[in-house]
Amino acid sequence: MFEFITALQEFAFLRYALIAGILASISCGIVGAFVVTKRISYLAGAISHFVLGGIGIARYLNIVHGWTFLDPMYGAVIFALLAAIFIGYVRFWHKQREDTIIGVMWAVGMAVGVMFISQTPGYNEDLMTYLFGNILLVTAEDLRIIAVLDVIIVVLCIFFYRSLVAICFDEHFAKLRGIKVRRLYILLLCLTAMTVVLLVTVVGIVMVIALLTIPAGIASQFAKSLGQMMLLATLLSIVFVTSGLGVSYQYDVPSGATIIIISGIIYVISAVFSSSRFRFKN
Amino acid sequence: MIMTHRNKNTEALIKVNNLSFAYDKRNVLENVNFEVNEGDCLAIVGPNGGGKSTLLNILCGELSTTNSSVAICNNVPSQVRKLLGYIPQKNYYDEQFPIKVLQVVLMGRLGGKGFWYSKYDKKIALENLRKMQMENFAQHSFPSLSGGQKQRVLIARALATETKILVFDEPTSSLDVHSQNLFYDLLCDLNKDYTILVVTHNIHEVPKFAKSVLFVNKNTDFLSFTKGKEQDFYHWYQEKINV
Repeated sequence: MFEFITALQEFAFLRYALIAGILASISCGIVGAFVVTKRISYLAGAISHFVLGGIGIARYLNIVHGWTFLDPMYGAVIFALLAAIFIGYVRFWHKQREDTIIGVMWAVGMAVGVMFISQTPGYNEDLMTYLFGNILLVTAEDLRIIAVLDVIIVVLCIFFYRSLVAICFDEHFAKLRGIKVRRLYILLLCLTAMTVVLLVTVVGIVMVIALLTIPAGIASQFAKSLGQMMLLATLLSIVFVTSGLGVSYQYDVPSGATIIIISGIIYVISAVFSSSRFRFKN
Repeated sequence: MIMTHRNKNTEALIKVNNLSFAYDKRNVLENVNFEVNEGDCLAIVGPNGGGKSTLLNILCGELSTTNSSVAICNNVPSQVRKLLGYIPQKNYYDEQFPIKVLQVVLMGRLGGKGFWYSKYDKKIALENLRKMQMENFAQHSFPSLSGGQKQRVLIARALATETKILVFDEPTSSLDVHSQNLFYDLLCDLNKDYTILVVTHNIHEVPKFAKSVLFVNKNTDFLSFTKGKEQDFYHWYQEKINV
């Protein structure tokens, strides 16, 4: 670990990676708590896979047609938000089964992404980067986008906190109190979508659900309120990302996978501890 | 017109006149008429699919009717849905949601301005927790409470809306016999200050709390309940079900 701390002082890319991880952890902890309590982690999975379509198209237009202003991350944000709005629209206005929408978006997004990435000249290694993440490739420009998204997410969560809590706890009652439940649910999906984009840079599309749900899942076993759950989930996420980065640097293994494996191990330990504590109490 | 005659001088809080409702041309309610006066405790009973939930959704303003045949405090339900103190059945809310009891009750104050609840909102929430004898649990975690305690908290949340009308949806479905009896005592206490509507399947318990009964099966029929004449009620209900 000492080697990692020394390397942090030496290499800018490592510092960028750590800052990106910490920034993403803040949104991850806050939005992850909503995702876990509202039980919409599979919607987050569908959004994260749909994002590959946006990344693929943006990268294709960027390289083949010279649209240099179109960073793949912008493509990711646009597709993630489109996915969120589409899922909400279909759920409320077309009364379709959510699992069908999830399946369709999951596969179609991936297919579009793979198609455009295959038609884009350059290294195909990029596909692996998007799928499994490589936080070490974060640039100063990426960091700026991540910071802006982070601020938007945190401000919206603070602004709509009590209404979001109400629709996660009891949608029906919230509606009776005059809360615009449909709009807020779509807002929650949009917040999830933006957080997914942040996490794609950290752990990649395939492992986003894990980082979105594991810290919040662990926190839910100990927290008495949603605020506590968010705080604990954020801290856990920072610990997982930092330790994952350190271990991956030390042993030269993929950073995204290392972060998820560490998170998974801690989740299992906490679940065992939590269930034995419950048995002891009873 | 069926009326819950408690006090002929007071105007009815709820008026339902020639109400019909259909899902995809399938009639669920046909020509329903009734009124609920202030101070009544009305049990809404009937078979599954008879239209109880639809009627409840219309009263709560969730479903709208083409003709304005339903009025709550002389207004269309969708405009006054905030006036109803609704206590949901168990599967409508998340029992394991990490939230403190006070925060649950504060939801009764939703709809106001500002980012967060005001001091007045907190005062109202605590007052109603006290009414439900749950003020010592204000900072407790909601999932750690028993079924009966959770129900008291949800009643406090409904009272925090400063309503005149409490609407219970299958209130005893998750309670054991002891908790059910405590609940019926509580219901009678609440009825001193509030008009109460209870949707229930638990026919045998209806005489413990109801002043009048509305049988819903497409149409409605009404029975004004008389204490000590439980057998009449059971016969009446059996007749309705057989029809």
